[in-house]
Amino acid sequence: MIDYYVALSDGLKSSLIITLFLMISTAILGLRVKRLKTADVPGGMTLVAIMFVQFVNDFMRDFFTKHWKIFTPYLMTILLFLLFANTASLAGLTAPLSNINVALGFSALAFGSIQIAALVIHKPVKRMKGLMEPYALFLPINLIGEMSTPFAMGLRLFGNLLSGSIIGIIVYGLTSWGGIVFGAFLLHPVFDIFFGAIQAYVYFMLFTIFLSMAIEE
Amino acid sequence: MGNLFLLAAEYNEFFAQGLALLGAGIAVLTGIGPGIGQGYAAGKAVEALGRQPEAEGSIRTLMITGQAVAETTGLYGLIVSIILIFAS
Repeated sequence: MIDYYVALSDGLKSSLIITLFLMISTAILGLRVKRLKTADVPGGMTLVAIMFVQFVNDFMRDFFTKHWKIFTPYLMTILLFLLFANTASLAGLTAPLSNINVALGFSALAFGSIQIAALVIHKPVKRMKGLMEPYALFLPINLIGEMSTPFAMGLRLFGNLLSGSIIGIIVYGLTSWGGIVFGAFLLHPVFDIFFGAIQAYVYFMLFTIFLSMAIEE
Repeated sequence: MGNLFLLAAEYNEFFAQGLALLGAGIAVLTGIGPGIGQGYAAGKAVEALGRQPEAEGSIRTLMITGQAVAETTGLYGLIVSIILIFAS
């Protein structure tokens, strides 16, 4: 067990740590929300969690007309993981998405879930007809489009996180004590919090849009 | 000319490395495109803000998400150059 963990690369290690942290904290928050009475006023982290769920629900209702209840928990989990994963370098971990395997894993996740959802909700015959729009000759182009958009989504995350960590390595490697001041006030706020949160939101938004385009009429 | 390049790559590893680094420099030139695109998006956002100052929040959100999507092509160039530098 320990040997398996030690042999992993840094990005995969921190991805496992973040998954464990999220599992424990969301279980605790869920228990707290379950214990609330209707007259109680939530406070602290419970309030933040409730407002987050509310935000995601409102966001979903704009894109999905019929099936929003099925996909909201799944997409919210992805957004939550990405928000914590992209800001992981604040806690001293390597950002998981700066490893290409994790980034391409997110591509595979998007591709697989879009295809499976479209196949289950539209039956296969209708799905094939949808791929042959406007003519049957357009089938190869549509297939390339189905493949390339999830691939681009994963690579976008990888490029952002990798460039952030490379700039961090360069700055901390070239400077001694000035780099700490520079890093604390410019590097981490911009590259970890701002870009990380924006890229998490963009991945979530694009995933929602492509999923709703594949599923809804 | 092609024959010369083949021999050079075979007998001089530094030649291949130098060409890879040159290619990395050329690949990073893709940064021009997102620069123009993001600047255009920001300019249009300022125009929209001048027309409707009360819609500031949604304009900012739309501008930042649009810019993050426009950044993608530049990031591809960056990935290609990183691969050329470190993986060749």
